[in-house]
Amino acid sequence: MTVLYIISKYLTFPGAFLRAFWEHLTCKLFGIPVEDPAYLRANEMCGHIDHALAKKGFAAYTVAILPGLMNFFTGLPLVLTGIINLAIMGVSASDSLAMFIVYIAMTYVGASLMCSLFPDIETVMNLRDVVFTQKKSNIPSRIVAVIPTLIMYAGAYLEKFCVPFILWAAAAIMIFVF
Amino acid sequence: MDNELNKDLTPEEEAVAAEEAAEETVENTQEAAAETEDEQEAAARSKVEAEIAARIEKRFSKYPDPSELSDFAVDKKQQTAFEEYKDEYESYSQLETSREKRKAILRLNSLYYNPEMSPVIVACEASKSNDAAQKTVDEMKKLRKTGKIVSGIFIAVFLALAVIFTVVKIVPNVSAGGGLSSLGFYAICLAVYVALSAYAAVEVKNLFASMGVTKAQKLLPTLENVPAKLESEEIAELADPCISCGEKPQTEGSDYCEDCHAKMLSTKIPFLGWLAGAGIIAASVVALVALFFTAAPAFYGLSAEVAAKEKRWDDALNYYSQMNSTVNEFSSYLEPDSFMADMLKVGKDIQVDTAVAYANAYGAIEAVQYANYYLTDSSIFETEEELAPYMEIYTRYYNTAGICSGYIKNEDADYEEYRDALMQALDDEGVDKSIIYYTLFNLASGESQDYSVQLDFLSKAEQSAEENGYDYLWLYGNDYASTLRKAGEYEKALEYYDRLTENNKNDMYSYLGKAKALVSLGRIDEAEALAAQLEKEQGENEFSISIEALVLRAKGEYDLVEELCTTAFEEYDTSAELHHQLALTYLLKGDYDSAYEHAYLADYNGIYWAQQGVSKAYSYEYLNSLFLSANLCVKEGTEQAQTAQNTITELEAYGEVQPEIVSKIINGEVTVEELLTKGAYDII
Repeated sequence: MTVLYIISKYLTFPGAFLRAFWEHLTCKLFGIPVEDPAYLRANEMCGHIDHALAKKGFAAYTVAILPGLMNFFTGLPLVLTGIINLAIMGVSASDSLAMFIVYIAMTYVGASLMCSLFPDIETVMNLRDVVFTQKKSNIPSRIVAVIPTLIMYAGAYLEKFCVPFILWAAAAIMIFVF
Repeated sequence: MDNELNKDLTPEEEAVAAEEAAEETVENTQEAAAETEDEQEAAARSKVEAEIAARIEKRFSKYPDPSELSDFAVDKKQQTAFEEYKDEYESYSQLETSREKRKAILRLNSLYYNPEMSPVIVACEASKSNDAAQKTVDEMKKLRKTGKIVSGIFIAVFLALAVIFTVVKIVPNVSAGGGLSSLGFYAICLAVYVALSAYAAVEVKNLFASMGVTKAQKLLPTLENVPAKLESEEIAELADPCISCGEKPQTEGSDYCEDCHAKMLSTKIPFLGWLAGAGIIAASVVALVALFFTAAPAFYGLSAEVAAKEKRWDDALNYYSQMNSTVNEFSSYLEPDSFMADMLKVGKDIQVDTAVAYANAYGAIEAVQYANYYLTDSSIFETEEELAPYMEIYTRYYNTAGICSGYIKNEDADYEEYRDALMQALDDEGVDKSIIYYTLFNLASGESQDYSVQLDFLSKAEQSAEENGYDYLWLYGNDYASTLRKAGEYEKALEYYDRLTENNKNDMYSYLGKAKALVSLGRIDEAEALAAQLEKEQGENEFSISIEALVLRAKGEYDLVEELCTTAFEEYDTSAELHHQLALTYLLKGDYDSAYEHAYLADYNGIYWAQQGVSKAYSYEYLNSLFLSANLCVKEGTEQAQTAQNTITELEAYGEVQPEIVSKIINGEVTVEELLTKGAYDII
C-alpha cells in the first residue's frame, strides 16, 4: 500500500509538494520544530514533513487543517476553471492550443492539490489527543473542532489508501472520456 | 583422578591436555571476574537509582498536602488550579517507576507554581501567623473589594446609558408605530450592548484580582516553608533525554534538547517552496477571475447539455444562445486579445452542439441557413463531420430546388402550372422526391385544396423518404399531423404528434395539436392529463394553459376559461393561442365583440411570432376565427361591426379567402356550438 501511496503522491507531485510547503510554513508560524524538512520522499511521509507534535490545542488544530485548506482554496478555482472550460465550454486543441494546454495544466495541478488535503495520521491523532483527550482548548473550540477533526481523521486514512487519487482519476475519465 | 586417567597418555597428548586444562582455568577465572563486574555495576546502578529515588522523594515531601490548602481557594480559578494540583499530588503515590515519578515531580512543580495557586499558598501561610503573608492577603482582599466597587460603578453607568437609550430611542419609536422590525433592531442592539457591558465589568473585576495574584507570586520565593521553584539544572536531571540526539535532557515543554530544538526551529523553507507557494496563489487568483467570468456561461452550457440529452431541443438551443451571448457580453468588458479575453471563449464543440440543437429544433435546412447569424463559425456545417448529415440534407434540398426551377418556365404561373412543372421534375435524376412532394403539399395547402389532395402529397413524401432511408419527419411531420387532424383523421394524427414529441420534447405546437385531436375524439380526460403532464415536466407555460383552456371550453366552463386566460395574459400577453382560445370561448358565450378583439390579437401575434422565426406559431385557424367573429359582429350589428367590416375588407384585399364554414354559420346552416363543440370542423 505504501508503494501505491508513494506512486500516487509522485503522480500528483504539485499537490504533495505544496501541502508539505504549507505544513512547513505553519510549523514555522507556530514555532514547531521540524525534524526533516524533505517535501517529497519515497516513504509514507511523502507530501508531509516530519515535525514535532504540537502541544497546544490551537497549534495542533491549525497544523492539521491549514495546509489542506490552503491546497483546497488554491486548488478548487484551478480545477473548476480547467474542467469548466474543457468539458463545458468545449475548448479543444483545435480552438487554441495554448489555452488548451493552460486548461489541461490547471485541471492537473488543481486535481493534484485536491489529492493532498489531509494531514498524516500521526498529526491528526495528536490533534485528537491534545484537543479532546487532554482538553487543552475551551469547550466552544472543541465543539467547533469536532466535525473538521472527524473529516480530517477520515481523510487521513482515505489518503493513506490513495482513495482521493483514485476518485479524481475516475472523475477525470468520466468527464473527459464519456 | 585426572592424573590417574592421564597415566596411559603419550607425552604429546599430555601436553595437549595440559594446554586445555590451562585454558579452562583462564576461562573460569574470566567468568568469575565478569560476574563480579556485573554485580558491581548492578550494585552501582541500584545505588544511583536509590539516590535518585531518595532525591525525588525528598523533593516530593517539600510540596504541601492538598488538605492543608483546600480551605484557601476562594474563587473558581483558584479552585480549578487547586484541583489540578490535588489530582497530581494524590496520583503520585500510585506511581511505581522512577521515570514516572520524575515526570510527576516536573508536572507537580509546574502546577504548584501556577499563578492562580499563589494566593492559595499565601493565604495558607498567613493562617500560620506569617505576618508578611498576612499583609499580602490583606492587600489582595482590598484589591478584590476595589475591583468589585469599580465593576459595580461600571455596571451602574452602563445600565443608566441603556435606560437613557431606551427612553430616548426605543419608547418614542414604539409610540410612533415604528414597527416590529425597528423594535427588533433596537432590542438586538440593546442586548448586544448589555452583554458587552457585563463582559467589560467582569474583566475590570478580574483585572484587580490579577493584581493581587501578582503580589502573591512575588511574595512566594520569600516564604520559608514554600519549596523553591525547580532550577534548570534540577529540571535537566529529572527530564528525559532528547528524542533526537538521545544525549542531552529535553527542554521544558519540548521533546528535544535545547540544541536540537533550536536547530529544528531554524530549518529553512527551500526557495522552490516559496516559489511554488507564490506561483500557486497567483495562478489560483487568475483562475478565480476566469471562474467568475465563465460561471454563468458554464451554467447555461450545463443546462443545455442536460436539455439536449433529454431531447428538449428548444430549451437546449435557448441555453446555448444564452451561453454565447453571455460570453460575448463579458468579452466586451475585457481588453481584446488579452490573456483573460483568450480564456473566455466558447469552444468549437459547443458550436457543433448548438448547430445540432438548432437542426433538431427547427430542421436541418434552417440550421444551415441561420448558422451565419447564430454561430461564431458559420462554416461549421462544412468542416465538422458530426454535422455532415445535416449538410447533406441541405445540399439535396437546394439541388432539388435548382432542378425544379428549371422546369418552371413562367414566373407568374398559377397553381396548376406550378404543380405540373414539379410533377415533371419528379422524373429527373438527382432530385429528392420527398422534397418535391412536400413542396406540392405546400402549394395545395396555400390554395386551400381538398385535404385528400394535401394528404396524398404528404403520404408520397413520406413513402419516398422511407424508400431512400431518410428521416424527414422534421420536414413534413407537423404539417402531416395537423392536416390529418383537420381532415378528421384524429387517431392517425395522434400517432404523428407522438412521434414529433418523442423527437423533440419541447415541440409545444405538437402537444397543442395532440390535445386538440384528443378533445375532438372526446377524450377530454386525456387532454387534461396532457396539460398536467406538461406543467409538471416543463413548468407552467402558455401552451399548458392553452390546453387547460381548451379542456375547460370543451367542458362548457366558459367563465373559468375567461378567468384563466385573463390571468395568464399578465405573463403571456403575446400568446396567439391563448387569445385564440379566449376568442372561441367568447363566440360560444355570444359576446362577438370580445371574440373579434381576441381573434384579431391571435392573428396579429401569430404573424408576429412567425416573422420572428417561429414558423409553427401561425395557424390558419386564427384567420378562420377572425373571419367568423368579424362576420358575426357585422351580422349582429355590434359596437365593433364597422371595425370588423374593415378587417374583412382588408383581409380579402390581401387575397385571403373566407372558409366555407363561415358562410354556413352566417346563413344559419351550422351553429357556432356545433362548430366549436362537436369537433366536426377545423377551427376549434
